[in-house]
Amino acid sequence: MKKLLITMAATLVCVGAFAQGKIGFATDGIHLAYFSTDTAKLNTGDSALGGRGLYTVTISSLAGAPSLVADLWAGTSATTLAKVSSAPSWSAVAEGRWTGVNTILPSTPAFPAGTVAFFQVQIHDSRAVDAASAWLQNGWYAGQTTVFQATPGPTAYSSIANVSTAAPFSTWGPGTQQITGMAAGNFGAIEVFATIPEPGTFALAGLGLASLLIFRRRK
Amino acid sequence: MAQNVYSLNVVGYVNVTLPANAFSLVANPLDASSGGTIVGGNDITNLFKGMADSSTIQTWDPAGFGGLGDFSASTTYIGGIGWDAQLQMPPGKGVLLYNAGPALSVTFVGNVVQGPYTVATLNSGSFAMVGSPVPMSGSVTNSTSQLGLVPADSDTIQKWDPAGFGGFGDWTAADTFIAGPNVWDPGTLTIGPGEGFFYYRSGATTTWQSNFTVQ
Repeated sequence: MKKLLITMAATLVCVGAFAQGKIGFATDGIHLAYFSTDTAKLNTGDSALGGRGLYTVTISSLAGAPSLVADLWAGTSATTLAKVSSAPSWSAVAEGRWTGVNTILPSTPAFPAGTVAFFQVQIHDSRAVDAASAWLQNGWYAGQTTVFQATPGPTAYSSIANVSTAAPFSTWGPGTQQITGMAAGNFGAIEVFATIPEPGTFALAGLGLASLLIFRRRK
Repeated sequence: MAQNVYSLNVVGYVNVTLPANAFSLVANPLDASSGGTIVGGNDITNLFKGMADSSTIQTWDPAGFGGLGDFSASTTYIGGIGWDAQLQMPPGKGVLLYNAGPALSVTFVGNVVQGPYTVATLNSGSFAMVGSPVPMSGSVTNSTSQLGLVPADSDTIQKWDPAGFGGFGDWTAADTFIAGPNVWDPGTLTIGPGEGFFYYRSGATTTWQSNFTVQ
């Protein structure tokens, strides 16, 4: 009897653990992360990476050797997203993919299994906390998806990239950007790029500074 | 003059250790229904005897939890009596087994499955709990490609880690199949004989058919 009670208690704990939604922060061949094909959005020296997928090889060859991270943000609404998971590394063999992470969603706010939640993937320079703040810095790379919906599972870590017609689990739309140098059918869905000031911007800033100096001297 | 008669059957056994008071993902690596041990063949009532009271077995139900997939209701071992229900567990079928007692070694005995054999149907966009239908071990390739499973791009394999999630058990990180180079990434998982695994089919629905021959 005692053993039965212990087993039942353990089962309840397990059920409680399983009740919290689980999600696989992973990608597939049609949701790859790629460097923008617009070389004006890449730093000097990185133009050859345009259209290539992000993985250890391409990231390690970036000018200035920045590191990039992939984060999963989740919320119970599209406007209440918070970071819930970070990929530990990038694939060493497959362009566009980070190492998948089994993610148990937080209990506050609650993400019960079976209830649709809101998600976003953000990729950014590791010196920034998110994609938006990375883009505020000149030359820092970042990219993000639109906010999409997915349903956390009770026991299995279903991937956010699972958009199978047989079991529509996520609304994350497949990408359309063919990844340079990879077989047909490998599509990028997350464009990663940097904020690169145009030469005209520098000229305008210089002109403004010069005007200021002249104005002060005359005064 | 009497002629020699040779049997093509290969009979073997596999020992699998079930950790104490923990869940394990187990798959039957031998066919006990022909040339096997005892009446009952591949039923759990034959495969798992002498279990601790309140041990349980669950299968994977892809349609469970509103289509997200979930474990089935438990079949329970009643001490001194046995399993409270029958459950066929042919070679390659994986089950989640909770051993409610001290660590236990289970011995599978039976024929090595040879020739064409349907292991499982792998439905697109769905998980399946399966295992090698023969006693193979090593990298996931040994348990899949070398046994007739044709992976599609972004198919994944996960194992059950009894020590995961604070000792309650949890799935490991996945190995993902990358088409083109045709490799499992990162390719760190190894699967032992009798060990089940969790297969996610990203490609089109397919039938896993093995065609193994003992050399």
